[in-house]
Amino acid sequence: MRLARMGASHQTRLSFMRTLLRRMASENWRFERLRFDVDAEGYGTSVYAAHAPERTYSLVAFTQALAPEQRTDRVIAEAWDATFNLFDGIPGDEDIARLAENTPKQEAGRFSANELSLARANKSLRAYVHVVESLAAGRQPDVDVLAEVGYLMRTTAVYGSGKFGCADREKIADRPETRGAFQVEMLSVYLIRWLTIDMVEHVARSRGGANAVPMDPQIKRYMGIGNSTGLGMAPFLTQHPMLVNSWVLARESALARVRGLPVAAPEQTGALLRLMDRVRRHLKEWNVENEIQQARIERLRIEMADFETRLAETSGKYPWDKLYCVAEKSYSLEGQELVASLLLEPHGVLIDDLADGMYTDGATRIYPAMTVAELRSLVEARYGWALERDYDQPAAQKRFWYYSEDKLEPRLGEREREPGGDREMPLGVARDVAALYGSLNGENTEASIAEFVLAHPEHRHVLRRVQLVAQYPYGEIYDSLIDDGIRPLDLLRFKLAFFGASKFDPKSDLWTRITMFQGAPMPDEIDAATADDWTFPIKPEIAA
Amino acid sequence: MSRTHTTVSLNEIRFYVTRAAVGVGVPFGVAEDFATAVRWSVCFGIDPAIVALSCLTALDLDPSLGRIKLLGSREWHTIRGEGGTSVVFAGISMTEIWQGAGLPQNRLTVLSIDYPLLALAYAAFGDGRPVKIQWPGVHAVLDGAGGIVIQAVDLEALQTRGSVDVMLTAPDSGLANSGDLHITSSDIDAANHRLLCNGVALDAPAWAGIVELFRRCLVPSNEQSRLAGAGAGLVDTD
Repeated sequence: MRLARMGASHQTRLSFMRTLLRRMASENWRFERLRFDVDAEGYGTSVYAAHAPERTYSLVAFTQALAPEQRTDRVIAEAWDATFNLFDGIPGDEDIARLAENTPKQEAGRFSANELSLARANKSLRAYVHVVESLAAGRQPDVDVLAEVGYLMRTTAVYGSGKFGCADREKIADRPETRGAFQVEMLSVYLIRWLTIDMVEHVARSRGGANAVPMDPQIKRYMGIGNSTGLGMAPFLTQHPMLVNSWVLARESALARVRGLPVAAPEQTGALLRLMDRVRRHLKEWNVENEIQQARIERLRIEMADFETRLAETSGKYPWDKLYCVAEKSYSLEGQELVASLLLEPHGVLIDDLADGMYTDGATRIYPAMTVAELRSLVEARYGWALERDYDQPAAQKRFWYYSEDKLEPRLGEREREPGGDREMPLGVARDVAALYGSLNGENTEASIAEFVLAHPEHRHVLRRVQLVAQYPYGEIYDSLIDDGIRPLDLLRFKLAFFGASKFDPKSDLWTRITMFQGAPMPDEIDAATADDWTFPIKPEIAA
Repeated sequence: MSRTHTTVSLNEIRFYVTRAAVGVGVPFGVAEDFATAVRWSVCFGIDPAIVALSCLTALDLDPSLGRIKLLGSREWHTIRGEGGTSVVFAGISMTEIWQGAGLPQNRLTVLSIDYPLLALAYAAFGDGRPVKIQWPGVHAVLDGAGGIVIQAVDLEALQTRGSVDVMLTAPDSGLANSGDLHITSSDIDAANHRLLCNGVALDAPAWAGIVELFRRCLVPSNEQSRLAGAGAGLVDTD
């Protein structure tokens, strides 16, 4: 994986939101609003339950008034419009009382193994106010206004996996519905979306009385949940090579299966052609302020028009492979990645089983019997690109990643200008591999790695990585993350695309806004027909 | 006076202990594996905060405890530090040398190691070559496929802070039933399940000590770095 390609990623039908919705439909999940104790402004406590076949998961939500000057998406925020937990089961009054004392404090609170996630969200004031005022006045909101935002609230963090005392992943790793990557987090966000729509309708009713109208179902579907994502995802991707490998391997395997089809069945071609109409309109509606991204989108529109034409004319043997090869040869990285996503789209029967393998619970131990000579060969085979760099040049390690004392906010510093380089996170993989390679030279080539690493413990982290990447090649990022030219946004987009996000809206090289579940069916609409037919959302056409 | 307790997750133990170890100068890769050992040691009833803090404080005061060497000849192999031997380093290497170094005589000794239970915990949760691990009052057999049987004269012997000499040999016919304390894989699995459902209650002052060491890894914030952090401005009313 190279950063530039990672930064052009698009969601696919293997993305985590997609798999969650498919499961909900196939298993007939039931949804229930168990509690909605909120005042006229929507402030209070709510509980929304998702009943899976064997278990129930409940979103516990606390909403409060927030002064505008307190509203920030940064990790260093201290207060939020809404805070949440996903509770394992149905919470009792004691649980809710305990969470009421802790959840609004977020990182400063403490949680138990009954809580599977901890999250918070802030309103998009312009969308929220517009929707409430419109519904209260008896009319539907202006879809064009909503299209500029795409959501009523945006999450600014969704924590799982044992953070702040919440349940460890191990607790739920054997359950079918939570075994897949980030399913707990995706479920949390999906239920938050439902809550936000209930909330605006409730506040509109409170203000408008008999004049108020409910939100049009098409507009509800068009409302996603926003998300602001910063640097926290970069350490995650680097520190979980086995997991990342499982994601990419699934996607590449799916693509290989489709490209290997000798003929295109009319059903699949027809389905993709129908989808292309929505894709075209989606791309037309995807506009951002970031000039680099906007230019990429504009080129993408041209490339997808070309793709649509070729798709309509496709014939002969291995047609899907031909389409992919055209993209690979002629399109931008954005275009290539979107084509890969589109080719998978009509082939659910062929590829959806691959989603079941997109997780890992394996340990990451060193293989101590490997010899120094074998390790050297591995480094040369896999990390030649890293060995070519001169790390004595300042540009080669200009940046460093660190946790700030400010609520552990992950930040990216400049080594020569800022203090803290001696406390950097171990994300300088390329540099550290080169140092390992240097130490291997001169060692007894037949010595075991057990002996080498006992004498050179400073290389242990990267030695483990080299051994792992030999087995899990898609787990490595084949670029240096401390280089002068690093663009963290590429890492964020890669992970967010695997989540299933759309409408990437980069605000700088360090962070992006996205929309999640935009276009997805509401809980009372999920069925086999809707669960997988909601991507590439477009503005609904509402009769005046 | 009873000490106060706090409850944390197993993942928090891993996260904080890893970085606390880095905070006292332990290389990141070693710190990760030490934290893994600490995480699994909880299944043996030990307080991970007290143990981890003790190990790391000792290293902080005397870094030479972590400078370990493998000494040996055709007849014997020994791991030892300078003066004493820190389990932070030796606990991991003990297993790896046993698994990977091809010792001709099937015998390895680790001299004067603190908290040998951590070394056992690290060895116990990996696959590989079967081994019998012993220190005074404790015998453990690991079958190399996740199976483990431990016999100890009492809990104190199992949880001793040391220092003691630990010996690794090839398992013979198993363990004689000698000892009041008998622990098997199923006991450990049950303990792990309880921890996943309830969290880990540990000594609050010791945990505060771990967090204090952890904070050494954090970079102080200033106005410039706050403003340069990822995300919108410090106020966002979009």
